[in-house]
Amino acid sequence: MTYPANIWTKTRHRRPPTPSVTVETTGASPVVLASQRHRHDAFLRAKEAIGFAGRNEFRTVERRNRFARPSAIHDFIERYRMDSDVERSLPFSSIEELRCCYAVASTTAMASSAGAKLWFISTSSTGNASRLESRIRFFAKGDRPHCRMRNLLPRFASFESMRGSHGQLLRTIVLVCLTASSAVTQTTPYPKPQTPSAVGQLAPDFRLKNQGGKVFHLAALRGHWVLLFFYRGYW
Amino acid sequence: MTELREFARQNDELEKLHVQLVPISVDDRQHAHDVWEKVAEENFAILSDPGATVIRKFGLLHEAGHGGADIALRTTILIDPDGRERWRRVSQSVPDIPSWDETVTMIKKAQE
Repeated sequence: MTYPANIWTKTRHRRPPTPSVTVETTGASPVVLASQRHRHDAFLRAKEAIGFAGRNEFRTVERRNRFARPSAIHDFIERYRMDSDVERSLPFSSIEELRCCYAVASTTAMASSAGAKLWFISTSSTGNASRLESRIRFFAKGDRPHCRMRNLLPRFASFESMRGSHGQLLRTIVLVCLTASSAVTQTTPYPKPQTPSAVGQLAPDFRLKNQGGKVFHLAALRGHWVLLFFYRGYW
Repeated sequence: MTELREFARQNDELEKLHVQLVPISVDDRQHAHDVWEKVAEENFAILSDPGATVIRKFGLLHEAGHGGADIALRTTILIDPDGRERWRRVSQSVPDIPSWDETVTMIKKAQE
């Protein structure tokens, strides 16, 4: 199958596709994240932008795509809404925005652990791009991601040759994605616990009320194994 | 919260291991009730420590950890039938969340 030389000319009047994210891991097959509906378009853009190797690889990777599952997105919401230091309410106006940022977060984390190069491509419309930028700006703090972002720049220079606002838009979204990923993967450490370890010592006894107002007494559970789980709260 | 949801999913296995799960946070009773209903799926009680008294006792306070308010460092502590700590796992950053496999491995190891 052949593809059009200038995919922007062919696609610029179409309905804007879902934002997609691509990651290329060192010494492994590239991974493309895209919705089922827009996978073909995402493949074209990946091929154009970074010389993505072949359609068969894309299909293979698609079957492995575990990032866009509703449950995975739900987990992401849970983690960053209830378990992190970021704002309590995520300001995403659509599941597509959330999916995009979730994919960025997932791929960044995955690639960081593998020491991989990252390639982010978003194919959002101008309106969506602007909204996306504002929505994920709250992520824009923290450290640089643990990946070789500098490798991106020479390759993305090819966007200069793309037509008008589309090329500008793509560069903008790429930068936005990089900003978001930088923040999502921030590893700002928690403070050290006042008691790092008390293994072998008697656990301090306590009484607390549960969600129903009943008093819980730790000592009442003597003779049983107990798993205390302190969570950060503010749900 | 991700970890708590996982505990809820694995509640049957916790029961098989004869382990009583006791989640604690600074959330007030209403929020604890929400967590009990929507996250814990009513499988286990959620304790409320709004003054962080118990959290301080265990040396797990994250001062001003949430918008200036004190909260707990995400921590899992295994206590044996004699009331002694057998394992303590304190998260070091936001993404540092122990997996269910890690937790259950440590429980089984302690129970050997």
